Parts: sequence; structure tokens; C-alpha cells
Amino acid sequence: MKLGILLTTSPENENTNTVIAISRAAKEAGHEVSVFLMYDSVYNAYKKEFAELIDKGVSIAVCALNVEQRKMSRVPGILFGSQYDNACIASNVDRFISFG
Amino acid sequence: MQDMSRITELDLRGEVCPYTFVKTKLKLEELESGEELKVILDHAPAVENVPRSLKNEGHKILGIEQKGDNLWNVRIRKA
Repeated sequence: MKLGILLTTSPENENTNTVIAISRAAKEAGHEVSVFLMYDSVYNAYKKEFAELIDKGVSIAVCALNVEQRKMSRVPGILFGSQYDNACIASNVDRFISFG
Repeated sequence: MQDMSRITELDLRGEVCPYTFVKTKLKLEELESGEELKVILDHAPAVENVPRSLKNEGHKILGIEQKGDNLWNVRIRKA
């Protein structure tokens, strides 16, 4: 199954651990997982748990505009994309969960 | 018969994602297949994402030229 996750809240929000846990579990169960981060959620790009998800094969994209607005630097392995990528994820997956 | 040498120009200075992609896509819809569009951008993330997204949609990226500190021309041929 293809799972898509949208996360818009900042790293301190409880959504973060939920997304990390769901992504990890879904990947370990053999599903394809794509995560899109926007708004303050782009700060999660710096979290080691998200680096671990990338290593596990989770696809992570962020909104490059929100990154630029926050003066963040790029993180290897993360696609600095746009709402087009968010739309592609939403249209290509079997289930799409939004955490906002 | 459409004049293929004609290049349509779209000035998107001041626009940011996602409007840079949306407005480019809407403009392309007005053109005939094979026609060329030149998009003027001044938003760095868009210079990377608009061409990548359009390529994903099947259009051909003819070139990306930096014309100034924060000024780019992206040339596209409609699929």
C-alpha cells in the first residue's frame, strides 16, 4: 500500500512523534511511505528521527518556499519541493493522512 | 498553421510557489503543442521546482538562464 502523510505543525507538536511512529511502522510493514512537510513542520527536516526515516526508505519532501521563509539550510536526502509535490503525493497514494 | 517561431512570454516576477507553477501551467494550456513559452522568475525555489514539475508533466525544458542576481528566464516547449 502507498501511504501519504502531510504534516504542517512544528516539531514540538505531538503530531511529530505520531508521524514518525506511523511512518516507521508502515515502512517496516512493507508499505511505501511519502511525507510532505510544510509551514513550521519544515523544521522537522533537521530532526534525526526524520533522517532515520529517510535511511529506512521513507520519501520526504518539504515546501521550499516555507524553508526559504525560515532561512533554513538544505538537508541531504530531502526533496526541496513545492505544492506540486504535495499534490502528486496526494494523488498517487492509496491512503493520505493530514496532521495539522 | 501555428507560428512555431513565436515565443510567448510570461512575467512572473513577484510571484512565489505555488502560483509560479499554477500560472505557468495555465499559460501553457493556452498554447499549442510545440509552442515555446519563456517564463521570467525572481523566486529561487521556483526556478528549481517549476522546471522539475513541468518536466514531470511531459513538457520540454529548453533552458534556464540566470539574467541577474535574482532573475531567471525559463524556456519551455509545450508537449
